[in-house]
Amino acid sequence: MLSVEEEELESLPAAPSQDVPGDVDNSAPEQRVEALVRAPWMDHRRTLGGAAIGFCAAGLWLRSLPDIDPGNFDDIGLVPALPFVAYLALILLTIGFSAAITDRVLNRALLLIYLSLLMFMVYGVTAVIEGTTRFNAAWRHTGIIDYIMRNGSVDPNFDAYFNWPVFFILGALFTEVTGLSNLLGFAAWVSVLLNAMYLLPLVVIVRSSTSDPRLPWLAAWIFLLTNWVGQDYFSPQGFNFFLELCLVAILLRWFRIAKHGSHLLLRIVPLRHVWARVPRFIRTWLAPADVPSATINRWQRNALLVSVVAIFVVINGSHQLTPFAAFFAVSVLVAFNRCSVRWLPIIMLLLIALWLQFMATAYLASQGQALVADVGDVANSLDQTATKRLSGSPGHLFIVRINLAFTLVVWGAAFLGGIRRAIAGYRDVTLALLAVAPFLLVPLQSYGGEMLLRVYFFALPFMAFFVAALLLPTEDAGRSRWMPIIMCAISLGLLGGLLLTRYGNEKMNYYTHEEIAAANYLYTVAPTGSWVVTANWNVPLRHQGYDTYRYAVLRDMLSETAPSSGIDPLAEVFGDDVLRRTIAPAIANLIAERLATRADGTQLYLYISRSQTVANRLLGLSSVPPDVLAKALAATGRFRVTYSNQDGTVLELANQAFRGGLWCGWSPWACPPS
Amino acid sequence: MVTVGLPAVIVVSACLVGLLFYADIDTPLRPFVGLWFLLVCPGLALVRLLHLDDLVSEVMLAVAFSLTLDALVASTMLYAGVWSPGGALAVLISVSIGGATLQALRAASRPSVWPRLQKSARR
Repeated sequence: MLSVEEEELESLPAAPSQDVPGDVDNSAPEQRVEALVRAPWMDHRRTLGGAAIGFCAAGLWLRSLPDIDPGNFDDIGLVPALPFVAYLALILLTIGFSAAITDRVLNRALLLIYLSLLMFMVYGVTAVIEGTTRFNAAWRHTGIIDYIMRNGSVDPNFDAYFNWPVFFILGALFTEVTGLSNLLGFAAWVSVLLNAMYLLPLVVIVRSSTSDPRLPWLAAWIFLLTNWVGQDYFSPQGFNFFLELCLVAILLRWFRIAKHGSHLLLRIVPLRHVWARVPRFIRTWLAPADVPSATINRWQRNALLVSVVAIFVVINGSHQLTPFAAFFAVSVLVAFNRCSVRWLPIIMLLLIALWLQFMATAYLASQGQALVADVGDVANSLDQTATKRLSGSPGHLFIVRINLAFTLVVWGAAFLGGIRRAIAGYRDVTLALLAVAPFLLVPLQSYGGEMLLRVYFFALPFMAFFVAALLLPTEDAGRSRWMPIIMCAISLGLLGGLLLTRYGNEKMNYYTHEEIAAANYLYTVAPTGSWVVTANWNVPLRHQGYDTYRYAVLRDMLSETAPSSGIDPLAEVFGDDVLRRTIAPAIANLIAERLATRADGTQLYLYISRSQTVANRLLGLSSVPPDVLAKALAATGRFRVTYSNQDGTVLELANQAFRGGLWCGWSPWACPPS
Repeated sequence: MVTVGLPAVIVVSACLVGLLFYADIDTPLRPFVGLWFLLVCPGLALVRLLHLDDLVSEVMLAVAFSLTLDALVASTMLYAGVWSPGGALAVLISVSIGGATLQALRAASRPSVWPRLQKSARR
């Protein structure tokens, strides 16, 4: 039985399209759209001219690559190391795209060339100039895949990854089928592949909400210019983000509700009464009908629904956070009457509960209380993400502030884009809801201080649409001769911001061949079961022997109790006697002794590398740089340097010299700290 | 031509990846063939059966379906205690060839969808 308000809303005529504002001439939109896209593949002169710009940009970029030396990265990352020619290539590419997107005739071939070039130039640059896989987590993920290949099983009690292992199982299948020894080489290029994949659902999503053929291209361009958070690496998050976008794209393309109707929220009586008091024109403005879905028959509908559930099953088993992001996105769509599959959130919630109950039991048993304790603590979540990152070297602090500013600029531009669209008469309620839905994740937990970064990532496709809409709010907009210049200036501003934010920590995030050689040497000499100790977490390790070695960072090995939250492992244990740029022999001896005690007769190797030293300085982790520590420990005679090159050192603890808590012929107290 | 061409591409890819894997042929081509097959082919074999007539949507679904199928098959085998990359690949090859065969059979009794796909790509 429908209420009066519901009947009133149901009786309203279906809106023809969100893209047809009431106060804009809409006499012949189809003809105008046709005019925009007529003869796109046949305008040879434009195509050749635009392609020439693209190839010039690519040529200049390729020419600049040999001049980029990762050794020239400094505390603000890649930007100072890029030669002028590289910037020239990017400027040329941006000019080409800006001209093409504002051209009277939309040339898809050109736009595709520009997008592809941007993807390779910005997202593939590190793979080319560094030649190795960045981010320590990518190395760890490769190690988990190696574990699955060796054991053919997962051990949920080992760590959290094995409670959501589907991505790694898939990785194991890929490794076996491709015949590679591991996926590290593939992982170096995965950002390019993933960003290309993200653009597919992004285009479907934008096309589901607008008939302007330029907006999907511009939104894709903006997405590539603003994807700074770096979650598109070889990770469950990067993989699941694609699947989540596909899930949303399927719902938006084939399961929209194309008529005015009541929100599910209006079934709540108090809300219904409040809603009934709102003037009718506001109600219809706030609850517009959606663009009609693409027509499908029952067989297609059922097949797509099965695929949506199957996709969610994979997401649910691959990642801790993405299932909740997908659940919130779909729930918001259903609650606000934007999706006809109203049972889907219930199924999703059920699947999440089942997975937590039966497949992630080990994780919940150990971390469940901590997880629940964080729920609702928004202040902590924001504090962990923003405030606690504000430490380290001046260059790093500058990058952190740029990150925050860039995020606010993108969100602000998206907000203004939404306002501009609304003023023009468009009501992009669906995409606005999807842009806001990820913020519901913030109260859940801080996610290791990364929650706001993940929120930015999940919201980015929809924010990109609104930023694009700020530039091209209507189908008639963008025809002025100034628009290419404005478009170019904004794109270059975003590009500059992207290079600073995405690659601001590149000096720390990349690994040289030398430090990787040292890591590989370690695995060839260290017996199974050995301790592998590092100064901090920023290491290219664990890509093999994930379960057969005992890994620890120095702080954990030195601490008497469980790992604490202190940020200086040495000062925490030995107080302020640790000197700023050097380390006293007595302290080094104490460290050696403590490590020997902790190792308890097991072989112990200390791996010190360039990237640890850089991370230590950039993030302000410890008052003693790892390379200085390594030299001091080697000088004690308790450690033997088994391998050393310019970027990596492997030290082996001489266990045999330590017996029953006494070092032969030496007392650490004989020489007081100086 | 395209309606028959795509099933042929899927079948050839499936046969090639099967040959390279089961005969354990070590060639620089194998990573590319393996990647192409696992990333696109199983999904492409199924999504074309839906006749959605939209190029971008079909490409998106082909990749999404492929990754989903790969993950589901491999994970099911692992959790069932019968982890076997060869077995998982056999299932995926079967799905791909089965889907491609159905596509080819349907293509024989339907007009080509290529003009409609071209039209949708221009949208």
